[in-house]
Amino acid sequence: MYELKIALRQVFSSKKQTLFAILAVALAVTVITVMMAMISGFQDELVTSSIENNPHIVIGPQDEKEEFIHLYRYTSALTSEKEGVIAVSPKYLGQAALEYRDNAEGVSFQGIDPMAEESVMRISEDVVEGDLMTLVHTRYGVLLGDQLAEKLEVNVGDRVDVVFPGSQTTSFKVIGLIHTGTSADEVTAYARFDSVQDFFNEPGVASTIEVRVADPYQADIIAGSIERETGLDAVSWSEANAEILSLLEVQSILVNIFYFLIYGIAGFGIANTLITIVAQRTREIGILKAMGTSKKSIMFIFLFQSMILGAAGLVLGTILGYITTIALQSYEIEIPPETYFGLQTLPLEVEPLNFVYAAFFAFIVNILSGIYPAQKAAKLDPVKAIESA
Amino acid sequence: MTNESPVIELKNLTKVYQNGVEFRALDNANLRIEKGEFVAIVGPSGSGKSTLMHLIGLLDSPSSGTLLIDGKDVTKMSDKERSGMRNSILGFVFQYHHLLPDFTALENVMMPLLIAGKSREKAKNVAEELLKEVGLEGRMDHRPGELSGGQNQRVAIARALSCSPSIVLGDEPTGNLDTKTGDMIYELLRRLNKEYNQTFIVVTHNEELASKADKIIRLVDGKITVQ
Ligand SMILES: Nc1ncnc2c1ncn2[C@@H]1O[C@H](COP(=O)(O)OP(=O)(O)OP(=O)(O)O)[C@@H](O)[C@H]1O
Ligand SMILES: [Mg+2]
Repeated sequence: MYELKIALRQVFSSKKQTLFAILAVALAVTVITVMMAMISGFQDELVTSSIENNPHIVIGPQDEKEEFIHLYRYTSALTSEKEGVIAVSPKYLGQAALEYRDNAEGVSFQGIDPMAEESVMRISEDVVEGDLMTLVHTRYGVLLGDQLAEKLEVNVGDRVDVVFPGSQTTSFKVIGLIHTGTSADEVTAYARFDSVQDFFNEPGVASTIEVRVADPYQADIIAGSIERETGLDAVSWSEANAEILSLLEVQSILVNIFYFLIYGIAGFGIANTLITIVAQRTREIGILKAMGTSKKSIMFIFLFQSMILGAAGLVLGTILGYITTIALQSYEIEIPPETYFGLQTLPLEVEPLNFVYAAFFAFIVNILSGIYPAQKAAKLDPVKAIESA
Repeated sequence: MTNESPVIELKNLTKVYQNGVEFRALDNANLRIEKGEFVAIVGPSGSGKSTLMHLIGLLDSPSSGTLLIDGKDVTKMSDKERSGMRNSILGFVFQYHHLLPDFTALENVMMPLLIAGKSREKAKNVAEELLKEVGLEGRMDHRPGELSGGQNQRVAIARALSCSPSIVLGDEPTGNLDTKTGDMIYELLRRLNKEYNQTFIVVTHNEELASKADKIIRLVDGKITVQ
């Protein structure tokens, strides 16, 4: 393979062009691998937080006109018997106002069974003051979102009044604070299920039943079978987040266009370098032809050069991309907690397959961008090439 | 000897350049060159000497006419066949050495052999032998930039001879050298011609050198007069 030998020699002797071409490819691969790490990390985080911060399935009334599930005990029992279901938690959701001294705030007043809600939503992880389980034996106890408590200027141990037209104003004792990092912290108040039912004068009904399943990716199927058996409406997390998930798809199309453009720029960089090399080596190409090198071999010499440049660039780019990703991972960039589901740092994910993709496409782009200059070289007229200065 | 076909035969070979106006750089050339001949081509500047050499060297294609090498019509060949012949049958020495600047003298001489598909080892042996023959045994690992004009020209001759071509073409191979070095290289070519019975066609402006050739071809305005 004398073609490879010539290619290597020419690449190593045009040091500047070689360096710039390699850097162009390396930079493209770096940008793309870091982007991929960011995007797949972000998407994973989004899906995980959708799964973690929402019930896997929410059962609601059959019909939008209806407000309540009447046979919630029966439905809960039936649902919890189903295969793949880990826990169920009926809830009463109401709107009310909380008053403390001169402050008043509208809240989502939620009645929960602490044990059941804990096994479905793991909310005790978010309890920053007090204890969720105190609710079990505190009939008039309430847990507030920390932002809400701040606005009301209440502390654990204080008593707040719950007010709703047509209901008897009732005093509840603040027994704990919750911090989820989302906007829910501004409006949520949890009390015991029976206390909230009584407060709204609606004993024996629930607004929703939340369900936790063993495998979140089976949630759709299980939700479907709940609907069939109970005649109620059952919405899985992926259905509830369909908009976000389809947004992710749109985003990934845009991102792919972006990758395509970056590769395009890198490709033109390589092509440009090779055209320059061909121009500078015109006379040598003529000499090689005079010695009996065929057009095909001349093509190979320049395709090899683009492959050598590309291979070096993508190896360097992959390494740089990996280092940059790791560096960004450990550098915790604060973003407003409300922006993305309570994320506090940029979620970058090192996915080996992404590096393979980036490198593979970079290599393909290289070969493609080498074709034109190589053809140009192969077509040179030997006499004119040799006589060119 | 007499019924043996010529190595090179030109029949009405014509090269026309068309840059707005038509220019006949080579006009209806007819010529036979026999195996082992040492032929000198002379003529004023612009008379078509290089044009003729490029056509015989398969570096250029004629506008019309036929060129036979070893009895085969080369004007109808594919790029692959023509480059194969450039490699194995023809050796070209230019006025300027035209060596590959990134390769050493040895590597330059090895190159046609590697192009022919010979092993590195074989190529190296042949190249070393030839470089010794042209008196450069101590300079094999130098690059063209580190050698003198005469030395480079001798490397170029060794390169042209590396695949043992049956035809060696020289377009003013000594034109860029001082008289003494030029004479020496001419002597070298003549000696190789006698030793290996290769056919040599050499363009020169030096009438004295030309007079030592077996045959002198004079070109005037693209037309041949055989002496
Ligand atoms: N590519 C070209 N296009 C147009 N005319 C050309 C081209 N190449 C050569 N010629 C013309 O053809 C004629 C013959 O050129 P050639 O190079 O064969 O001359 P030469 O005998 O080798 O001259 P010299 O002794 O100066 O090297 C010249 O008049 C030249 O201008
Ligand atoms: Mg000339």
